[in-house]
Amino acid sequence: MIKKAVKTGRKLFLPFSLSFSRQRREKARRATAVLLCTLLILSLSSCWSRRELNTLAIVLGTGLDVGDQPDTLKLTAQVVKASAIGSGSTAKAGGAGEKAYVNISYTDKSVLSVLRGITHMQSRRPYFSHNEVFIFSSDLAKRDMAEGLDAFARDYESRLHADLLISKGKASDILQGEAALEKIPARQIGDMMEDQEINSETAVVTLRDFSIATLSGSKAPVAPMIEVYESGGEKHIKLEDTAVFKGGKMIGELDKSQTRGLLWVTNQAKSGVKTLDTRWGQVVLEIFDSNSKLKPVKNGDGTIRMELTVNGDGTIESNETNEDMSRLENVEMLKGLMKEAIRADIENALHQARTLSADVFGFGEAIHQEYPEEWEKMKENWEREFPKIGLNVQVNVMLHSTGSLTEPVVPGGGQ
Amino acid sequence: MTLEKENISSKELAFAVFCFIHGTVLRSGFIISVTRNDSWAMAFTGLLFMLPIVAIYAGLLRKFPGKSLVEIDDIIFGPILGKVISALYLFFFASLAALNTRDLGNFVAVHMMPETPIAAAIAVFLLGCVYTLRKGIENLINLSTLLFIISAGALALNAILVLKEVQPEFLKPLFRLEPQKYVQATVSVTAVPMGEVLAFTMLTPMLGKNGKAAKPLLLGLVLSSVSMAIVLMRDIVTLGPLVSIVSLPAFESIRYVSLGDILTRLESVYGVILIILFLLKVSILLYAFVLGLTQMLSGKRRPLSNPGHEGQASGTAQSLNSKNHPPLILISAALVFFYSLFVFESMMENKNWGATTAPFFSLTFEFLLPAVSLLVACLRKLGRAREVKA
Amino acid sequence: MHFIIKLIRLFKEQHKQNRKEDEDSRRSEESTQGLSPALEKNLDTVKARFGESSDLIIREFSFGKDKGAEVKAALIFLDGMVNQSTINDSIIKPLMHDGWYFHAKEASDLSGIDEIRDRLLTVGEVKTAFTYSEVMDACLSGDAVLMTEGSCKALDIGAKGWEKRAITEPTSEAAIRGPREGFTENLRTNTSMIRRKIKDPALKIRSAVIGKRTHTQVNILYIEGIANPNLVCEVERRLKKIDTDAILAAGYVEHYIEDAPFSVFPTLWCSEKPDAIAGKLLEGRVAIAVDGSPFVISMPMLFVENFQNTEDYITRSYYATMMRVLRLISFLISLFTPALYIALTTYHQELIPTTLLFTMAASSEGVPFPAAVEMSLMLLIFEILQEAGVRMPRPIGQTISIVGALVMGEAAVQAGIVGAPVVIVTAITAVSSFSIPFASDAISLARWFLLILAATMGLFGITMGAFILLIHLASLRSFGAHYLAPLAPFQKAGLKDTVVRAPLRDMKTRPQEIQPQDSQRNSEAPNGGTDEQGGKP
Repeated sequence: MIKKAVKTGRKLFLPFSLSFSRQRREKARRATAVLLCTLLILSLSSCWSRRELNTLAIVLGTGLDVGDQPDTLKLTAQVVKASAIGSGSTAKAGGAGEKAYVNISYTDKSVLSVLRGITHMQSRRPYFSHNEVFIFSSDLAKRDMAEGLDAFARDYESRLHADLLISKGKASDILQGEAALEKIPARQIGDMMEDQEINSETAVVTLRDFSIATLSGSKAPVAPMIEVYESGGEKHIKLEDTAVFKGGKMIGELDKSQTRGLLWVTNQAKSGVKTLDTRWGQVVLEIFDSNSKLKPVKNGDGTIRMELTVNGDGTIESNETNEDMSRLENVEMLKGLMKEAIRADIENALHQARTLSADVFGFGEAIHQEYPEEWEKMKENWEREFPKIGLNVQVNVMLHSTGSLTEPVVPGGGQ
Repeated sequence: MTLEKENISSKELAFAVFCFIHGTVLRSGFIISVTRNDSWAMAFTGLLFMLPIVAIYAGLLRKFPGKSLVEIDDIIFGPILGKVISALYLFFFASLAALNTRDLGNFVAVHMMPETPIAAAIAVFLLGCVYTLRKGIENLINLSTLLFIISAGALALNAILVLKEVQPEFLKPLFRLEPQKYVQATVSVTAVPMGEVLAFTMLTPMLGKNGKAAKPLLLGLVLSSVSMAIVLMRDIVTLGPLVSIVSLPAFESIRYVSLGDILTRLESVYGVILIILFLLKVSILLYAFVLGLTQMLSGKRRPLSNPGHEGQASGTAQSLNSKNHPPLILISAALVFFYSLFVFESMMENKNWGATTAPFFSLTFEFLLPAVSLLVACLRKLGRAREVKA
Repeated sequence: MHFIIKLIRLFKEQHKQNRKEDEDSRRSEESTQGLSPALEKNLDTVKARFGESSDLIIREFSFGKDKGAEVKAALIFLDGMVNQSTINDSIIKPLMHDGWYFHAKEASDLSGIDEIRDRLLTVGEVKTAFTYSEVMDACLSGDAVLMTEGSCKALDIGAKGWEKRAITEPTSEAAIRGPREGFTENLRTNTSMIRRKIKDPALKIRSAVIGKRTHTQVNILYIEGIANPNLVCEVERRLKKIDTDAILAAGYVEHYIEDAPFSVFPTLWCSEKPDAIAGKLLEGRVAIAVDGSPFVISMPMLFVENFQNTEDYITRSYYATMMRVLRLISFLISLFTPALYIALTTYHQELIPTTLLFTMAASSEGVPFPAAVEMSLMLLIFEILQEAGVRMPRPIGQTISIVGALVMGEAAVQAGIVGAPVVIVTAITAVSSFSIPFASDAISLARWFLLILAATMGLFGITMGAFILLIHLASLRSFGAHYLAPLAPFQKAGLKDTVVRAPLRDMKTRPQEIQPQDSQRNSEAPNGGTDEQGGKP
């Protein structure tokens, strides 16, 4: 067949090419053949991955629930409506009533079959590369996390950067909550997670962190929890508490102060606000930088205890008393109070972890890294060994300044 | 026209060696799955294990300066046996070319364009290699300095950007696995990325009659083992235990970089550099194959002239003649194309091969055959006697 | 079947061969025919050869002492090509007024015409012509030819004077701080401008005549002692090999002598400014000036010259470096942006930041074409606008630019035919291609190539395309010099003038790739006068 093509090519070329030299003609013929083959390859087989922008359903948030029928999953994908959100001369003015997103739900046996099943109902194929949040419902988490996790970590489209959350109710409800400042609820959740550093009361867990924690045999993965509450007839979302997992399933929760303790131990508490009760009233301290180091230390008798050193830098944020807090003895008192509060949170978290027998702090990993031989011995019975591990906490707090005011605004204080 | 230079400098050869190996380094998942968090040290032990092999190559090249591998063993083993040995080498080069092409095809098909059949990507890739060879391999080597700067710069940039996400504790515990795993990993490192510099023994004639080949080879190997250590360390501290289950650790760790919402999605840079480095690698391997084939078939060791271009004088050694070679280049590329398509059925087979058979396969050709050649050459007292260093 | 075709081909070639031989022999016969002593016969032959052209003027006159023994002479010239005052005052007047002492007998022998030349003609340039073809060449070059009765020689008197364009600012290269003279179409003016820049006797000018019918004068300029002698020989050799009948501009010469006629990238540099060419000569390059063209070619050319501008050496070092980097960036932008846009929006949407993705998705809602077609359409329209802008007559210029900008851009986006990002990308591409005027045509073509690859294979296609372009550039040789030096065969010393522009004090050596004979610019430790030091590999 190639010979025939070359022959016909030659017939077409003959009158044109008689003016060229012989060698040039040979070269031209060969080059034409190669060029033709290249064009054929390019056009016949390579355009399969092409996706035009207006055929994409850009998913920003995904929710996974237990389906109504046994053994099924319900996936809710929050898809952005580009025309309502884009700015540009072709964007139709997204009026007061038009929502910038659409929630698409589908129920089927596995995650991937759900994704394909969505195309039964929608005109566009879901596109996950910009997915920012994964919300698993607590029912699903209690049943099994593995399936949803694996499907999204393995797929090349997803990014390990996405945040993982567990919802107290149904995940699809979370995605329908009212987005106050952003146009899309999933965006709001994603941005919220980025700002959680400020309060240090929520564990921010990405898919990657969760996977690393799951892969470790000893560490218990955690994930923040989110719920819907009603206020003034509208549904709002709130981050509260942390879920604890073991063996791929959710086994318990940590409340607010326990979460704080957890964050202190795992060096994730960056800044936060603490209200302290002094005998004159309330003083609010702001911690703006802190770090903590967790180290295993061998005891005299061969057992291991964990040493935790917490360093915090803070300022006095608000002085609601009439007492001048910039006096040095008051500063010492405040520091003492702060240390106590931090210690209380950590003890609280440790107690809950021991109750659940879940190593949320990563003791096991630390021992594995420092004392590998001891770890080999403890590995098998980690469930029983973990509650026995002692924790020594040492807290150092430094208060740097009192802000812009040195003394509080007290009636009659100016005299 | 004496402005024409067909030779390459030894620095360029060293950088070409670096770029050659760096491509495989960026796809080094196979080592990490064996030694996990100690893999970074394997880069150095692999280099150490490679040193005797480089010494063998250097010995061979010093005895027969200015000649390529195929010519050398023609001299050593005589016409008939020499051709058989050369055929074995050529088979090795073709296999390497096919394996690497398949590697790149896998990357493109899985991570960049999933619906495209792998054959299309491989075909376009090989057409690029054919074009490179048509224009002359010395151009590619000239470019290697530039490519070195680009890939080293990208490596440094990625390493720095990832610093925010690293957790150095992932490197511990150090050296806790069984010694046999370390041996296995070292042999893998030597055989697969580093040993493939055998292909450069076909290129050494371009250094000129008095060129020393050992130093640039060594320099390139040292540079690339340093870069391998950096890459592996970076992956381990970023991904932790994930590193052994992820198929492409380097890709995933770069994917994780997100600096201030601007410097995100840098895996595209990784992809582009990977493709270019693999283009370099497969072009050199293909060149080694075609050159060896020509030399084997032509029999005489006469220099071949440059494609007739007005105003360009004929170059000296090892340029490809326009009369004979374009069909040969295209045919060898077609051979590699089909070979790469049927060499593995799936990526799992690929991984299995890499873990079990690849080191033995590679080491036979990279170590055993050249060692035997050197031995025979010494016994038969062939080639230039070793110079005594003054 | 093949055999018949081959036979036919053979016959045709043979026939062509025969015809060419006949014509060649005729031409050579003509060209060596000598002048005859009879003036009338000479004049008739000349008239016949010129074929009764209306601008051929033959002024017959006579001079001499005796009334009866006057010397008959004729002056042949072409109207419009000679300087009338030279003819009148410097040729005819001296002969008529001062040639009274000539006898007919004296003027008829061969020394007569020499006497005229030596004693009477007050003209600067006088040559002797022996054959008819020399006479014709002289007339066609604008000289006047003097023939006398009884002499087999003729005098070719330099009297060139035709209307020339004045030296003005070159239109294709604007200058801010540098000299603003530009070359004109007159060869001698051009070479004189270069002479005025380089007042070195080592600046040599060799001339050649190319083109069978146009007989275009071509001058090769080089500085002896700096330019590599092999290079000069090679240039001359290639010029002599040119076998065509028309050389109308410098570009014609360029295409006949260049190394890679089928590459999109030019391998010879051309410039309209004498200071640029002088700079190139001082680096060791060779320049060719073609009569009738205001562009002077220089060779060998390196790719980095696209980013160099004479202004760089006048402005301050840091600013010049920034400008160089800017040009490099705009080159990359101009080459890759359309292809990147298509690759990212159709294949790799994960690489686009999320918010930007929404905007792009919003603007591509309702657009009927796929992104690749949109982009190609806009690029095509841009090329058409550019071409139209150059060719159109001045009065409608304003209208077209308004139409182009408003209609194509705004209205098309409003109507939903193209999306706004596509228009922006096209605009950026267009504007950045003007930063590097010399390579912009090459970029236009390479852009399409990358576009096709991107539309079919995404980022992989762009990478392959970029690699192929890189290999292509690396494999180009311009008169033996590697095109991508000092980047491809990496030369550290050459980097001082590529992306960075080192202070002038530090640029002490000439570009290594061109292999000049004397590679030191200043007088420190000269590198060797006459041996061919090329520089280290």
